[in-house]
Amino acid sequence: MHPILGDRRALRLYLMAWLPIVALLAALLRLAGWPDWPRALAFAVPLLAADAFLCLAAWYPCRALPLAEGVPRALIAHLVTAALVGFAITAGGAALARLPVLELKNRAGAGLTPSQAGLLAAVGMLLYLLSVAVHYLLAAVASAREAEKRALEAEVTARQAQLETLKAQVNPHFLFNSLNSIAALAGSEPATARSVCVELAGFLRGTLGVGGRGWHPVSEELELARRYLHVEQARLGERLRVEEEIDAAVGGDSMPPLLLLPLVENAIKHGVAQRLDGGTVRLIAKRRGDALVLGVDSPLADDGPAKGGPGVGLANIRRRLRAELGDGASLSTAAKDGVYRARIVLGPRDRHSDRWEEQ
Amino acid sequence: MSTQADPTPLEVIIVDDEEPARRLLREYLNELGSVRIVAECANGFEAVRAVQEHDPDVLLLDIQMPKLDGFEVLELIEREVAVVFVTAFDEHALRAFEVHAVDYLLKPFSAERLAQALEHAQARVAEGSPPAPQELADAARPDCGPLERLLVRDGAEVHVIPTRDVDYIEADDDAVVIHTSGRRHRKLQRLAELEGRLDPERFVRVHRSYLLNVDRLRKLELYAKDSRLAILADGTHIPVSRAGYARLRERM
Repeated sequence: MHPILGDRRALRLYLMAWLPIVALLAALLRLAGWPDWPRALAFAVPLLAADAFLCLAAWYPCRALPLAEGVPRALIAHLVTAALVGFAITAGGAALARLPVLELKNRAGAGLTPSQAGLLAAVGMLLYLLSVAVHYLLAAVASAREAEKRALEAEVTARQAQLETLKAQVNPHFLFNSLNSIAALAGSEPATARSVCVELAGFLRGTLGVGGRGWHPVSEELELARRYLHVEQARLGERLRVEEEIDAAVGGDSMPPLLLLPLVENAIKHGVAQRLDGGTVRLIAKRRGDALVLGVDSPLADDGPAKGGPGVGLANIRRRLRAELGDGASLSTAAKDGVYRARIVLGPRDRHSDRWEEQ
Repeated sequence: MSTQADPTPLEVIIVDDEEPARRLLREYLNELGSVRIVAECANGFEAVRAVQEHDPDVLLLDIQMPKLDGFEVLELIEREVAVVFVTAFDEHALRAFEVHAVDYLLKPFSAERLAQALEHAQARVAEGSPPAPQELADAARPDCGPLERLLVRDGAEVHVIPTRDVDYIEADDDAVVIHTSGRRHRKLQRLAELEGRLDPERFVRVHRSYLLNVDRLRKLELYAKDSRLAILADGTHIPVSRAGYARLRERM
C-alpha cells in the first residue's frame, strides 16, 4: 500500500494540493464550452478525486522500475500507463457527462465533444506523469537520507571497534602483577626476570602496534597470546600449563587484532587463577571447512567466587565481530567436564583474505 | 627505624597465591630484621588455619585469591590482628581503602613502603586498637551485590554454604546459627549485619531472632493474638512476629 494512505496528515495535505488542479480544470472546461461554474465544478470534483487516487498508483511502477536500472524501459512503461490513465479519465468523464443531473447538452446531444474528450485525456496523462516525477523525486530524497544514515552508523560502528581494540590493549591489573613478578625474580632469578621483561615488552609493543593497522595475521595474534602466557607463567608458576592445537596452515590468514587475547585473559583470570592447583590453557587455531576457528580451552573455576565472570570480555568480542564481519563470524562458549571452551569462528576465508589485501 | 629498636620481633603471616609475590615479601621482610615470618600461605584456607594457630601481629593479605579471597579470610578470623592489604590493581578496593583509611600496599612496592606500612600496623597493635578483622572486611569490601555463599569456620576447617541451601538463620547472642537441611553452623556475626548482606528477595526477617529463606516456607499458622508460626517444608516451626508477618506479606 502507498505509504501516504497510512498517514492521515500527509493524505490531507495531498488532497488539498489537488484543489488548485480542480479549479484549473473547471476553468479549462468553461473555456471549452461548459455552460456555468457550478456544473463545471460538479463535473471536475468527482473526476479529479478519482484521478488523485489513480496518480498514487504511480508509486508501484516507480518502485518496480528505479531509474538507475534503465531510463528508456521505465519511460516507455510510464508513458503506456499514462495513456491508460488518460483513457480511463476520458471514459469516466464521458460517463459523468451523460448523467442527467449535469444537464449537459451539446449539439450532438448528451456527452463530451471531441475537444473536451481530448482535453480530459491530456490532463489525465499529464497529471499522471507529474505524479511519476514527484514519486521519483521523493524516492531520491529518501535514498539520499538513508545513505547518510548508513554512513553515520558505519562510522559509529568503526569508532566502537577502535575503542574496543584500545580497551583490549591495556589491562592495568596484568601490567602491575607482571611488574611485581619481575621485581620478585630480580633478586633470586635475574635471568628469568630479564626474560619476563623481554616478553612483556614484546607483548606491549605488539598490542600497542595493532591499533592503527586493521587486520593482522593469525600468527601474530598467536605470538601475542604466547608472550602473554609466558609472562603469566612467571606469576603462576606450575599452576599454569600451556598446550597448543595449532594448524600451521592458518598462520597466514588474517583476522581482526586482539580477538583471541581476551579469551586467553579470561582463561587465566576466571579459570587457572581461581583454582588452587591451577590448570591447562589450550590455544586453538585451525580451519574447519571454509571457516577459521580460533579458541581457548581452560579449566573451570573451583566452587570459588563467581564475581563478574567473563561476560564483559565476551560481549566486547561479539560487538567487534559484528562490527568487522557482520553475520560472517560468531563466538560461542560451553562448559563441560570441567573444561570451559570458547570458540571464535571467522566465516569464509576468501572474505577476510580480501580484507587483508585492502589494507 | 623503630622496628629495629624493638626487642620482640613483629610476628607476620604472608598470604598470597602467587609464589613470586610471597618471595618478594619474604626478601623484604628478612632485610628488615626485627620481623619474624611465622607462616606463608598460598590460599585463604591455609591463611585461616595459620592465623588460628600462630596468632600473629600482622597479616599481609592478598585480595584476589582462588576459593577464598582476602575479605572472606578476614570474615573468618576471630582474633585481633593488624591487617595490611596487598593488591595489584583494583579500583573498587582502592576506593574502599581510601575511604576507610585501611593500610594497603600496591604491587609492585618498595621495601621502604612495606616498612612504613608495618610501622603503622605495629603502632596500632601497640595501641591495642587494630580494627576487628570482620569490621575491616565489611568496611573495605567493595559492594558486589548480595552474598551468594556463607563462610563458616569450624576450628581450622572452613565450610562454604551456598545461600540457596540455607533454611533459616537464628540469632544466638552475638552469633548466628545457620540451619541447612538438618545441619547447624554457628558463626560470630550479628543477625542484623548478616541480614544486610543477604538477598532481601530471598531472606525475610520474620522475627527479632529469625531470618527465613522464603523458598522454604510451606504455610503460616495463627498461634496467638498477633503472633504466628511459619511451618517450613521440612516441618520445622519458626515464630513469626507481627512486624515479621507484615514484612512477609509485603514480600509475597
